[in-house]
Amino acid sequence: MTGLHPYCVVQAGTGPDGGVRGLDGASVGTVAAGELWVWVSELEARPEAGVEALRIHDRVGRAAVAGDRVPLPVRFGAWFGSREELAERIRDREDAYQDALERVAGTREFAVRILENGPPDTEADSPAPSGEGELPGTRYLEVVARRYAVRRRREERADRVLVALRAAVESVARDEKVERPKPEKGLVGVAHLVRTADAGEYLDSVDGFRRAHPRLRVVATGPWVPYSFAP
Amino acid sequence: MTEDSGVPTRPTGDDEVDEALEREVRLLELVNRTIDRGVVLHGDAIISVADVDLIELRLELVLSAVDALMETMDDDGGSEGGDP
Repeated sequence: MTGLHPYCVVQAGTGPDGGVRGLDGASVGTVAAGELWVWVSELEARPEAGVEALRIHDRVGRAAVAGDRVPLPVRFGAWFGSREELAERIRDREDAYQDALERVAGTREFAVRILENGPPDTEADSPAPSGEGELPGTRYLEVVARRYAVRRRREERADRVLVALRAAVESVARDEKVERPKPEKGLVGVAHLVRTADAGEYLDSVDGFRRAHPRLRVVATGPWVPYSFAP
Repeated sequence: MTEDSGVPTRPTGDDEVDEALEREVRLLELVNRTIDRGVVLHGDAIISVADVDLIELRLELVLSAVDALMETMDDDGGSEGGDP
C-alpha cells in the first residue's frame, strides 16, 4: 500500500534539492504543517528496517542541514497513509518541535562510547534463577547477591567514567544524554550536543580524555544530526 | 567518523584494531539513533533490525582482539592505566 516515509522535521522553507534520493531511490519531497515541513518519500510499501535502509534514512536527514538550520530527525519506522494524517500529527506538537529546532540550531550531536577491555561481563544481566525448586534457598540468595554486586560495580565504574568525561568536555558540551547499555554495547554511551564552531575543541577534549585513560576504549562518532535531543 | 561538510571529524586511532572497533561502534550508534531516538511520530514505530545481533557479535569479537592486544602490551611492559 502506498504511503509516506518521513525522514526529518525542518523549519518551513528548507526543502531538498533535486539530487537527494531516499529509500528505494525515491525522490524526497515535503509535507507542510504550520510553520514546519517534513521531508518525506512516497513509497509503494512500508520499508524494511535493514542497515542499508537506516543509512539512507540518516543520509537524508544530514542533507537537510542548511547552515545553522539543523533538522530534527524522525525515528525510523513511522509510516503515514496520507499527507493530511502526517501534517495533523506534526501540528499536534508544533510548539515542541519549534522549541527543539531553536535549541539545536547551529549544533551537531557527537557520541562517545566507552568500552572496557576484555569480554563483557553479562552475568548480572542473565536471567535470574527462578528460585524454589532450582537451587537451595541459601545458594539462590548467593547467586542473586553476586549478580547484584557485579551490576553495582559496573554502575560505579560507569559513574566514575562519566564524571571524568564531563570534566573533560564541560566547556564545549551544551547538553548530554547518557545511555547505560547492555554490557555487550560497552560501559556507557554519551551523546553530546556541541556547537558546530566548537566541534574541533570538543574532539580535542575527547582525545585528551582518551589519552588520560589508556585502559579504556573510547570511541567518538559524529557529527550526527541531533537524534538524542529531538522531542 | 561520519562525513558532514564543514564539521571536523577525527579517527579514534591509527591502528587496525582501533579502525575495526570504530567501524563497529559507528554502525551500532547509527542503529541506536535511527530506531531508538529521534522524533517519535508513531507509537508503533519499530520493531527490530535483523542485523543488530550480528553487529553486537562483531563488536564483541573486536573487543576480544583488543583484549589480546592489551595483554601483549602488558607482557611487554606497556603503559599503566590511570582510569577512573
